[in-house]
Amino acid sequence: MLISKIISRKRTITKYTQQITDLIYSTFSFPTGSDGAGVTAVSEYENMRPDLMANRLYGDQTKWDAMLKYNGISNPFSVKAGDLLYALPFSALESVYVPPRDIAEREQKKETGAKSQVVSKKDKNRVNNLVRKNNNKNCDGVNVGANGELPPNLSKVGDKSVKVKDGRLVFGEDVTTVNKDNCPTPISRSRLQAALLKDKLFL
Amino acid sequence: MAKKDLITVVTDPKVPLKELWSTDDSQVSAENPFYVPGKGVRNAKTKTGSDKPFVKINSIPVTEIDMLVIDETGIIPKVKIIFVDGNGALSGANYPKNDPIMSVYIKPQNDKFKPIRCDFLITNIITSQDAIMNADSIDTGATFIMTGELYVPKIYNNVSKSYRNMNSKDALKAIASDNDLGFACNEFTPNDKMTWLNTNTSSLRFIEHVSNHSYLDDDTFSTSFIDKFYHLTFVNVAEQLNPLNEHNMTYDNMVDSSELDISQAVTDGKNPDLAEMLSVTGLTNKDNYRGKPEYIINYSLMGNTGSILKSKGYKKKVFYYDPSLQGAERFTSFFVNPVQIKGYTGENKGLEPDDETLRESIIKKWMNIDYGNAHPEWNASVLINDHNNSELNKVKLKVETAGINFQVNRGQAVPIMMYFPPTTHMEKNMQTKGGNVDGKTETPINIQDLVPDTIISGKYYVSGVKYIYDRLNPSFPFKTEFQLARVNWLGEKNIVQ
Repeated sequence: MLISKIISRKRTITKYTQQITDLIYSTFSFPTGSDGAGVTAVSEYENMRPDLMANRLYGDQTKWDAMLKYNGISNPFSVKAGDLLYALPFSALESVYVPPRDIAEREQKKETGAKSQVVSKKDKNRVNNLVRKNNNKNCDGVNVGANGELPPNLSKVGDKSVKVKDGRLVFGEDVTTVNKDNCPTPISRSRLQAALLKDKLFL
Repeated sequence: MAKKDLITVVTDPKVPLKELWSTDDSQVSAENPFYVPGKGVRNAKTKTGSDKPFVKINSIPVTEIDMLVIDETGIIPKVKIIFVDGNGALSGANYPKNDPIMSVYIKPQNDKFKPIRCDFLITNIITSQDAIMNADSIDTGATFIMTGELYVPKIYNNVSKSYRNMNSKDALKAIASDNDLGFACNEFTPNDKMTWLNTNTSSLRFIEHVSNHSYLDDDTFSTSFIDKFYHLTFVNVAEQLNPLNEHNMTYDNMVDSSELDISQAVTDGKNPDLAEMLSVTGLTNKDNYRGKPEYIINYSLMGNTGSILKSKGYKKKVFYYDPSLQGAERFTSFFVNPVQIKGYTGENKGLEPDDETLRESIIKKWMNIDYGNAHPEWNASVLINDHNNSELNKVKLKVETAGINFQVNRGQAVPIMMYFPPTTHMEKNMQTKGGNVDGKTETPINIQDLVPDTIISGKYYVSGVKYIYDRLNPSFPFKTEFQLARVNWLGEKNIVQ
């Protein structure tokens, strides 16, 4: 059975209860070096059997998919006796399999754009210096406290009025920093029932 | 050293809010599988909370809001809402019985400001029963009138706790932390270190108690309240009234009905430069501010002088018994006068009665026995704070601005620049130049020639704010009403630049 590592590494997404393989992002990385193993011919015995070729070349029949990808062949059964293929460099065998790139949600992508405000330690010091220099004004010129404390009506860096979460717009979540210690998972009838059944308290 | 009249956040609030959400219609998602991109259509992200408040009760969105008022004049914000339950969603199973929380969201036009996002505990519901009972007219839906107050989960719990060796500011900060509230204040350090005891009262009452007994010196007084952003705010009010403090700068609000596209661009982060534009934190009726949230559309004076003079007097004589003193001195008394606000020269020109009887009438106050287990000014502090906070209520300026003003907060010091209405000005102009007085002139009014109102203008302390949405007022559906207080009404520094 031909199992392709390149395909099996692809990300799957659930859409309307169906599992769909996302083929957009590549899970194969072409080796950068040019120290290839040269060219090899497909023998009679290896007709339509790239796994046997991979076994002959690398001692590992699972590397057939990388070998074909390197040669730009997508149909494994199209390999015919007498064909000449480039051999994938032995040193690059493991590094050609890569995980798919993380796909940022539209909103997250925007936040990490050029205008994003990342507060590193250096940035914080710089802002504090500016505050002192500007007679307790922040870098925009707005009055702030001695250590850069903001008035109550101003948002902190990175705070958003609206956040996008799982296809929902959540409003004003950053107005307070939620104290999760005080609000554990809310009680619900189904959760309580499940807990009682689990502990065999209520049968 | 920070500006003394600037209120800043010391600790952030941690009150858990209910999740207030709607479907994101700007992209495809599990919540919105049938995404149709609309050209030039404002999506839920930009629209929600800007045309009208976004309100949910028991996860049911309230759509037909006739009126909503968020009242920030007491110690804790309150709400009143009038709406029609058109589809009967709240009249059945979702009637707020077990979970009486109303979530409100009003969007700022500039993301530099926090939105108004409050959870209110519904304390009272009045419903038009006829509409519910009468099946024939069920289409019209029931009208609900609900009132509530900011939901701070632990604020009414009875607490027995001591706050040891702290001044009032640190004690209030600790109480705020115990209740998951944030803490905000202007820069001052009270001289009232002691052990504050909460003897099985609610935190809300204890906040009032500590605030009433806070003491810095004889020339200052303070107050405290919980603001709409869940901060317990402790303010040295005397400092806010000082006219010598420079004006505070803040971001421009960018709300202008004629410039909706610009304000939307700011909100979407498309034009960050506009979002960082600055303006003085103040209010005016100058014509070139028309349409902006700092533009005053209406103002009036509210007077309560006689009533306060009657009940509290212009000055009080205070009596108390001090066992630490010797002989007749144990029975002690002193006068409490309104404080002299710094920055004004001469005597208080404000609210001192001309009538000698009113000025000299004595209200006597017995302050109990001073056992010496509190800070040295325990008896004086409660009278100084109470007397001077009452003094502020004698005459207040009530102003209304179009739109929700996110720049000016309760507790702040704000300069107000008022000009005579153009007609009055024209008449004056005519009289001085010898023209006809029928109000018609050929030369247009120059903004530089506007005549400032030196009585009403000046620096004020924002003692209360109301945020109003009124659907039946098509010109200004959103309004902000400020209650502004001061002592020196005839101060020489009323012209603010």
